[in-house]
Amino acid sequence: MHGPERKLVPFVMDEKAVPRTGMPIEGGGEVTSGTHSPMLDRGIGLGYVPVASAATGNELTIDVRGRPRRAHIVKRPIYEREETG
Amino acid sequence: MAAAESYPPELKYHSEHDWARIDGDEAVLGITWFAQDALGELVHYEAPDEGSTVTKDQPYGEVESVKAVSDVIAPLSGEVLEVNRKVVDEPETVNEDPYGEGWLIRIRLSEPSEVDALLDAEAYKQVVAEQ
Repeated sequence: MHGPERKLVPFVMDEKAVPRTGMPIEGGGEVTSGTHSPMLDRGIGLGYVPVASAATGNELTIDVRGRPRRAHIVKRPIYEREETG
Repeated sequence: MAAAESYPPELKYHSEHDWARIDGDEAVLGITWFAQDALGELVHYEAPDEGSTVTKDQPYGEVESVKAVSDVIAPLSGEVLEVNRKVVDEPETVNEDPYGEGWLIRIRLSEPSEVDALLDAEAYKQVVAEQ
């Protein structure tokens, strides 16, 4: 029996850059969707990574048009609105 | 707060929607009101390194909005003397003040005669009108 080889994980950028669909993730992965979050003022996204590197907090390196940019895996939801009175 | 449409007469323009403010053998470069309006609110500016060289008609950086990313084309050739850190930190500055606080780089011209090939404001307005 084999489990899945890759896992879909949410991530937040640690450097200034906006992740976009199709960008490679170092170590064998790919961004499936990404955008700029105005609430966090950072790039955020979802991507497939190898199961071995899919733990929350794990650092990722995303290839942003040839430039390596750091990100880390977060828990869902990426952003949770604070309750307003 | 977005700026109102304008193309200052004292600037020189490149048809790829860049402007240059010439000062002796130096120039300050940026993108025009039309360019920032087409992109929408900028969220990222990928700047060149200070000390690197830029080449007329070639990309020297990127500006990115929520919806799109665009190369920034150099209207003139030269050495990058200074990058506008304010725009690196707050890219929306370009939307607020594209010809002032929202400048992108300052260069030392390597081919000052290239200035002659740039457009004046009236000619650039024609380019915009045809878009």
